[in-house]
Amino acid sequence: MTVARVAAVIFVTILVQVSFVARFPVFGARGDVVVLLAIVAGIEGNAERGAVVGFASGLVLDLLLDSPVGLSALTYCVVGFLVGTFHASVLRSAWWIPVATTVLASAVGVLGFALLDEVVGSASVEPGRLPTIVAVVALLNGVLSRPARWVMRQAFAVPATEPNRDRFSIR
Amino acid sequence: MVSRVVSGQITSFDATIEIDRGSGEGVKEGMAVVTDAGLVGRVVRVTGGRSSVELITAPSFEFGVRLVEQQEVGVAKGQGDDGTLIVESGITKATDVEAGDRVATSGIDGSTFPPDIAVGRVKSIRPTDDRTEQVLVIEPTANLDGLSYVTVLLCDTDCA
Repeated sequence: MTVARVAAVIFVTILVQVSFVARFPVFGARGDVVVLLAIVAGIEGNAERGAVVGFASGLVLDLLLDSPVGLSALTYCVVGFLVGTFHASVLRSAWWIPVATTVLASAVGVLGFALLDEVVGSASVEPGRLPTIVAVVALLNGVLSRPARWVMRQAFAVPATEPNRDRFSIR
Repeated sequence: MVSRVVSGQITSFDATIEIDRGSGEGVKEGMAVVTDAGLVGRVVRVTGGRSSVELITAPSFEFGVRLVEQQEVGVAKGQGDDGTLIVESGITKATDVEAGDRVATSGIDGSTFPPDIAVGRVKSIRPTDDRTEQVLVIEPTANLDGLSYVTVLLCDTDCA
């Protein structure tokens, strides 16, 4: 059931990205709520969940883009894994830590994608545009961090007060 | 052939749109896509009933352009989400260019597009680093954000 719920969340997120977020560029840059999914999966779950959700959501996005298939999947997989690894090492809890993690991880996601894009020869963005894109994606995802974490908690069926990181596994 | 845009750019790294006409309607890769205002892009992928169109603002997109008033020819390159094109070579220092001058496709041999399709207007001008030529920033005349309908030119070179 958990897999089905996560798949539904990925599907809805892709719909939101295509039909809403992509239609309203800010300073010419479009938000990216798909990478947000990988990030909150890492925060609410663990490194493995972050990587799996990042890979799956990135792969679906890749199928809609003309960039080489696997670019988003690889980037979001790494982002989800890093966030899960980092979050597991955070001992203190504060409301701003997940938000800051989301902002930073979103920036890493955009820059990682741009780097891979350059490596494979697509170069679909001028380097001078990256700061704007990073800022827009990071800020939007920072704002959406809290509701996205709530959605992912429901998908993982993890109680908000007592995270159970061992219950979820992809079979 | 008029086509409906069924999907716009999805992310900042995506410089394509999708239209609802494909190989079944005679669309082929490389065909020019325009609106009443000017050039939009070229068809890069075709399936039975859908086609992907790469926008002229894609950084990987290069094509020949001509200054309509001066008849000087250069190569325009997309600048991504910035929404402009840049001409970095071909316009000599002696050419008298002003902001607002019209730019169209060049149509010279081997060009990607048929000649005389409106591309945009000169937005700004500056000299190249070696000061032998001029760099032009072009503002496309077609509004590439929020496209609803476009026209695919069902011809490769001779569209007169």
